[in-house]
Amino acid sequence: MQTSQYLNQLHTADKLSEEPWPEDATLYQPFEAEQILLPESASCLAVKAYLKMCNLPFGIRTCANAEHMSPGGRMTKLPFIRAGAFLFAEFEPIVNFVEQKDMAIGSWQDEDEKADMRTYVSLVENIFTMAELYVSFKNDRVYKEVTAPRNGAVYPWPLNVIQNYSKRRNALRQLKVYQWHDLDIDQVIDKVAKCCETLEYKLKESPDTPFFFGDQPCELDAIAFGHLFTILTTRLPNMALAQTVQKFGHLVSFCRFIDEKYFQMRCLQE
Amino acid sequence: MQLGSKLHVYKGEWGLPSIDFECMRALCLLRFTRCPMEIETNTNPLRSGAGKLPYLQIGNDKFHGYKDIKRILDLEGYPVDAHLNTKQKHLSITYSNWVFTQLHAYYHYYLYGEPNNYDTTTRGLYAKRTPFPFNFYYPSTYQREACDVVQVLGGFDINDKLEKHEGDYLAANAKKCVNLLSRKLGRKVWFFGDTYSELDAVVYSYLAIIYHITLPNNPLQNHIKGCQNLVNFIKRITKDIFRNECYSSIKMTKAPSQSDSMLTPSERKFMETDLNTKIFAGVGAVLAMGAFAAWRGIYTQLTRSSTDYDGIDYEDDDMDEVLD
Repeated sequence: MQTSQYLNQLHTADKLSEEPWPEDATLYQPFEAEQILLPESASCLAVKAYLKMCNLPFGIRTCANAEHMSPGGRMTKLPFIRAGAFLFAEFEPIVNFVEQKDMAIGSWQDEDEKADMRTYVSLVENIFTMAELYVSFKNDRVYKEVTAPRNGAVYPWPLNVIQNYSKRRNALRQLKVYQWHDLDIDQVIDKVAKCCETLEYKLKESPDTPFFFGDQPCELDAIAFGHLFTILTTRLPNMALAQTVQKFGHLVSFCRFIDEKYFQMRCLQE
Repeated sequence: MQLGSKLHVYKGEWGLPSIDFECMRALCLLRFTRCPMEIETNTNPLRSGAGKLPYLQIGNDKFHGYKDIKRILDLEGYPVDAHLNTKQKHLSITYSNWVFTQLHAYYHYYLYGEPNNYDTTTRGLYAKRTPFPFNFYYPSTYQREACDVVQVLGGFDINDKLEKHEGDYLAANAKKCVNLLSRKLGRKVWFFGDTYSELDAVVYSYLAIIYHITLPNNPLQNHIKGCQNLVNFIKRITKDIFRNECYSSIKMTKAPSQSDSMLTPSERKFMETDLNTKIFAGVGAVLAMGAFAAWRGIYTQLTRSSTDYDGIDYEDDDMDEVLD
């Protein structure tokens, strides 16, 4: 299962660039209203934003077992995209795949800028995904009232308990590997605030343009928008993350701008 | 900083100050910022409270793990990123994070996850640095932790069959990361020009261990050798900053001989011992045997001489006759 994805990444680069973007490319994700969890929702929105920025056509299919169909990945394993004969899961592999086809945004950047941008992307992905996992699974109230019922929503009784158990165990293991398991909520907020500070500083570096790097969108815009927008608009019993992000006015207006330009969801309050 | 505070770490090897990534990171913070603190290498992981090194002891308080140590150093006025400008501070954070995602899985897989590497090298390294009854237990805790790391960051289980291990994928990722780091370092002294940063600590800790460790299977080692500026970076920090902490046991400095792979572990162990020790052992054995022989000889001599004594012989004969 894992092997297919990695081999795809490693060995098919040459073959890929010749073929055009498949018409029937489909993005798979869980049900948005009933099932999807905070970290998954954020990564799905990030990928959608990226594909829209690249101006690539894609269909969206929601299904209950999207996570179990996914070829695997390091964070949420979602969303995954089926393009022709290939399956790719999560933000980075999908971005690499699009780049091999020479349709990617960000080809105007030079090598150094690209390297910097990659590191920002990895920081945003790690910090926000971990913070979202932490709030969803480590905070008792959020877990009992939101995470557990939503995650088990599509399964009948004995199965949903097993599902919740295994999902929580995986999430806690992820937190442990990234050394987040022994933090308390204040330290988590602190980390998120630091990451927001870094983003805001980057955004202010080019005050005339609405994007992080120059006057065109890039991967960082997509992933930052995905996470920030999801954190800001998702209602949870514990809104600590959203309150932290809200303190950074530039980031909120950045989210509003991207939403207006690519999505028109308009659910961000003034 | 309070007097008598101590940082406890694993002792080093191959001329490095420590064998463990977390310990190296903590040591780098300490020595980069020139924090005046003692370093204790002869220590027991059980005392840290978390079953792991490094830990920092200030008075009766113990702070274990890199995160806590960094927090304490920041509070005490030794922040590692103090001399950078704002942009560099942010870049130092993002790059450290990125290096972690690229190299952490490789480090854990090839040091603890790869069965051959772990059995021949890593387990022994940790076991030798842990006191007696615990040396059977602590190295395996590192392996269990590596199991989680590889599962999450690499996407496979190290308890699976060896064919299912995606070590090549991890190595390919790590190589890309090393290439980029080499390009970023260029001809500079530190990654951000003239002042040290957390990124330097992280990169040095990973690469110095991977570069120096003698594992049977370590694809990144040769790749690092190809990046001359990174090799110089590692050597310079080891020589200039850790002049006093470097440690290397005599055994490791010897070049392994050709027939090494043909021997069993116990034979190899005997081959690696010093000539002096061998001579000493030989002489000792001869002495012991001689002493034993002499003692037996004198004993038999004594008994024989006692049987030559007339009076007792006759009495014995009388006794025999009476019994008959």
